[in-house]
Amino acid sequence: MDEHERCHRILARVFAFHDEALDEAEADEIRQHLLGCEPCLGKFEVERAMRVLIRRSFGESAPSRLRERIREKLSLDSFNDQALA
Amino acid sequence: MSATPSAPVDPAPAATGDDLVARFEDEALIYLDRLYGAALRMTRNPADAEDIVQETFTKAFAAFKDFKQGTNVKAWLYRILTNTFINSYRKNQRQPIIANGNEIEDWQLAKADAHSPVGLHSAEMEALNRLPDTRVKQALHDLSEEFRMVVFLADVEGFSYKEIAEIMDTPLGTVMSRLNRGRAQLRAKLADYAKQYGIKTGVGNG
Repeated sequence: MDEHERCHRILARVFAFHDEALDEAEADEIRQHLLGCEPCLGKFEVERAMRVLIRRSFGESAPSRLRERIREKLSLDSFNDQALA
Repeated sequence: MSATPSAPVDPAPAATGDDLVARFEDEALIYLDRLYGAALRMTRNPADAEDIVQETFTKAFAAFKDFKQGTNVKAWLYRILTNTFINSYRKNQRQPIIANGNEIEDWQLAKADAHSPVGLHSAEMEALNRLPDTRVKQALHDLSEEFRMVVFLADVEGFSYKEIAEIMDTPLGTVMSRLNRGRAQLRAKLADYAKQYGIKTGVGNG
């Protein structure tokens, strides 16, 4: 297997590696490769940065009126259930 | 530590309505913000997102009495949300919808498949780290719907492939291929933003 093909095989698993979806042997193969391959290491680091970025970008809070609306509906439904029981 | 998640832990004491509401608030309503975020990704519209979230919690509460303890509440709520979106919300939509993966435009697939993981220079990496939330949201919103949801569930919510397959009631293989393509598209777009942003803000120009 030439160098290019090896990198290709490693990069094909960049998502699975970060998802921790690989078995230990496969993950070790990748770690081993990254020790000696800067271009691949760079791409794996970009993927890690992407994940941090995406995760931190979506911290939304529901509007408080929605929480109130749901609470009211729950008490009402619960009351109706008891009345029917 | 309790062991088997399948076995109901206690034999459901005859709970009063108030107990049930309290338990529901503790175990389900704590995910309100998360579900609202997911609903925004689905509808891309705050008013509609509120509606499907309210409907989701109403349905969840009605089923909560029979809910097995030890089951993953969060995944269960996401499944109800997804069904609510598909069954109630979509039926009221007039525009044509993409029903399944086969209808994705060929060019989208070709473009995504051509992408190997992106590489960035250090200045671009810095720009990436400082990308505003609005940019990232926009990039996700621009993905087609089926890509958008799997990527959101994996990258934002941290669900496993298997959990996503259950939530979306989609075969595991389909989830994985959508996730690969959706992620590649999203990252390509974010990398483009990072490159533009790096130039615009003059990163590296003393």
